[in-house]
Amino acid sequence: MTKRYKKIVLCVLIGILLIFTFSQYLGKSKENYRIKHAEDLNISDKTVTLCIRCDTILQHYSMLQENLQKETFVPQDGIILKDTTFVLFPGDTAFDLLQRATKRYGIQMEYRGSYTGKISGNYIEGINFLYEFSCGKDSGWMYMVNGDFPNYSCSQYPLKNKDKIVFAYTCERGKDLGIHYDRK
Amino acid sequence: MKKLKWNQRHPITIFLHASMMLLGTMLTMHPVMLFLSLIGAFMYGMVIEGKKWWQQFRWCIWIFAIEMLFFPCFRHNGVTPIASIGGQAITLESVLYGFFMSILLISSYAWFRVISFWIDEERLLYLFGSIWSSFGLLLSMIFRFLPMLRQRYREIQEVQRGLGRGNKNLSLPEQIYLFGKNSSTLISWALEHTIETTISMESRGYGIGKRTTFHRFVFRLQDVFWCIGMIALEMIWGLGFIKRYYVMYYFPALEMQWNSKTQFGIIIYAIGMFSVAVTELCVFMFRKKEVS
Repeated sequence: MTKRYKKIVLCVLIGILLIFTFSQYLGKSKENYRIKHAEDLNISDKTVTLCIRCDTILQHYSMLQENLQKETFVPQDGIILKDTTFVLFPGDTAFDLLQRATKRYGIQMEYRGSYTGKISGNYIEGINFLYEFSCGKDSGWMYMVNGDFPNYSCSQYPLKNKDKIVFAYTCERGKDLGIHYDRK
Repeated sequence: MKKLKWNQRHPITIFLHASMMLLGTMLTMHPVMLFLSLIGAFMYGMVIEGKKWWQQFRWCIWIFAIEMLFFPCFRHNGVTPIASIGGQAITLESVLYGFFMSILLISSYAWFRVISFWIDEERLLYLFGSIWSSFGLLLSMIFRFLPMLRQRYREIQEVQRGLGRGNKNLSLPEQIYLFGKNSSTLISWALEHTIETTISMESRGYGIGKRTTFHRFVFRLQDVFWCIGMIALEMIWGLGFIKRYYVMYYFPALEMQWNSKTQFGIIIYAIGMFSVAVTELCVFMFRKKEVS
């Protein structure tokens, strides 16, 4: 490898990193405004409620990873974010709401985006350091709107006025949340 | 390469030690053990190659760069955020995980390099020749057979062209007739060749049954001691590994196990890693004094 080639590669690496780090400040003023006024009910009369809970883990506590068995990661009542009313901005999806709420309350959240195929959308990997497969091989995050489980990504679900959204952690692929797969 | 005392050991002893070092490096993510393994491999490498050894590890900076800069961009788990990319946090934990992962990669690479000095072709053939000999023969025959067939088909075609039959402007039925003729010639030639090879192999003693190959390795008493000692060490260490005494959690918060059992395991690990290098170093120092 020549010295010039090395320099070019290094420059490209640093450039990619810089672009990534500063990309968040570009065109985000609208979202920042929305995060700031997420609970300001004077703005509009359209509202939705969000709740994040992981109470199923409490029943399967021994299956949980050893280093996650602490109260900071799994609260005693199993509720990470209690029922909170948020303003519904136009064009909001369930994912937008979750991202706004986690940013506002300082809850850690990681997602993975997929842009290929018919089922494009964001997949929630973990909230509050509880990740998929942290509590057994059938565990992960699911969401329900008004008691129903939509069968597609939360970033594709447009919200309506007075929707009730719950993000819940499951340890048995949704069976402990009340989903029963019918065999036809 | 200098002449080493360890290379006089029996190949089975050397192989046992090498596989244990590799397993011990690759299985654990405990930072202390990773550093011990790195130091052990580098000690031996310095004895073998001296200053030349360091030149091989210049490119390892790239491993560090990739693991510590790019890995955190794709894994955002961790309690302490440093920066953020696209709205997701880069955390100290994932950077540290990348650091120790690259140390694991580098130390296993170093061990492989050391092992390539220990086990040369002769020893490798001695170790695996008895298990895979017939399979190896079969493979080598197959690999030889295909290019040979292709070459022979070309020869047949040339002969046909020389006889005036292989002109380019032939009609389709004529082409098919010629192809059939050529391939039948090829098959009969190949069969003839296989008969020849079987006869020659038989006359050289293939298929008689118990045959031995010449080797110059002797399993001495020292080998017995080395083998027993290493197996005992590895079994004690492996017991602790199965019972999860050397677990290191990187996500979401750093959590290192450090009790008396872990320390005991680390001492045993260090003995395993440094035993050969230390004996080698002692011999090396002793020799130098003799000369001067």
